[in-house]
Amino acid sequence: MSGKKDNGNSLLLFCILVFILQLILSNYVHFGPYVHICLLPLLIALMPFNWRPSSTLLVSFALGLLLDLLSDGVIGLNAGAAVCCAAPKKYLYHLTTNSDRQDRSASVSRKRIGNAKYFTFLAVCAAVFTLAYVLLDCMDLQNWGLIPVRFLASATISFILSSILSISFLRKN
Amino acid sequence: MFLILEAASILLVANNGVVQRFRIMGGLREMQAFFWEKNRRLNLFLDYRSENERLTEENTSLKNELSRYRTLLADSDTLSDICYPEFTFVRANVVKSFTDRQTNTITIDRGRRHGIKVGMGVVTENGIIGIVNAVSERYSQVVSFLSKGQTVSARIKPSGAFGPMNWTGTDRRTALMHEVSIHSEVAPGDTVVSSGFSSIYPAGIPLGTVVSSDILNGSALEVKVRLFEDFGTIHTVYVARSSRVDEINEVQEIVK
Repeated sequence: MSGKKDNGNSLLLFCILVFILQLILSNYVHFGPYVHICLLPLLIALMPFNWRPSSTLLVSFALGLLLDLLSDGVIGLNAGAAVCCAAPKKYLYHLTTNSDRQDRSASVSRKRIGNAKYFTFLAVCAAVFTLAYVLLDCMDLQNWGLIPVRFLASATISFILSSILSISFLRKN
Repeated sequence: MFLILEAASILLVANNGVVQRFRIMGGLREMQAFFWEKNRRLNLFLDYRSENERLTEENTSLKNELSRYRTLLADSDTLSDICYPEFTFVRANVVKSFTDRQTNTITIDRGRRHGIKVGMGVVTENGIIGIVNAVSERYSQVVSFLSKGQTVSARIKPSGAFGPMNWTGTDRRTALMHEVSIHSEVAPGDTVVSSGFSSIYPAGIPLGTVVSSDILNGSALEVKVRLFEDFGTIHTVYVARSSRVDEINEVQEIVK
């Protein structure tokens, strides 16, 4: 029981640290117009499966909106992308892990589903989030060639950084 | 729930300017700007050598410009022939600047108490920077020229050809001029300046040089321009206050 509580606390602490890191990246680290690093998909992927879908959507929206407000970006961009990623989360999970035997009370973990499935799920979440973000950001842009390049570069780097953070700071349980 | 939240997000994105205007009034922005300013001062202190070099260059350039004006003044009846009597400028320091997004913003340390209003143009000696989007008591947010939807009326100096110019969305030193008359003589190296067709920016501000031009749809030229201003290294800007704006607004109100 105590172990479960400890796991929950460390996961919460990890999520707070990831959010702070995202704020620092958005405000002070500039990668140019092709790359937007987003760690929100990692937070959305780690949200417990026993939450009601509406709660997951609302928390994702709130996190995105908070990020938009604190990083001086276009308000609604991260919020919209987060909602797009959170809505199909369960379907994405079933699709990528090919299983519906997920412990309904827990967050996704590498130990439970294995490294390959965990990182595939993370990659799909990053891809969905980034696609929504790039489309929302470039919806009235004349330079359509920018969209695929930006999507590929941003999704790849976001996924790599999310994976590094998962391996470094999340215990394999 | 998904549809409601997604619609709310799209609405927020579409009305970003309005939302920012409300947002900047909050204490949160003042606090953010306070930290950004401290950070800027620290960076400026650590980078004082290059800042000194830049100021020396600017000083030399201004002396040369003054010399040109003096020569022109000798041949001119009034100073208004060569200056911008309809504009006054407020100097401001850049507190925070973004250049890596599709909608980039710049925060400056001048606000309502310094006479800054929404809609004023922001320039430097090297080009047009953007338009004031939101104002608080001590700070203002500027929507950078490096943003989608931001257009400046530009003129190619030797030929007099003009057209709207906007950012390409990728390289922060490259912009495109559209709808330039196909009969215009445009050559690489020609200087591009602001046309002054709006009351936001003064005419004749150097913007960049022509890199190349292409015929678009057989009807107009699309001109690639290398901007003089590097938006990534801006420290000081000037907010242009036009005395004509109130007059123009008055006329528009009468027409309505």
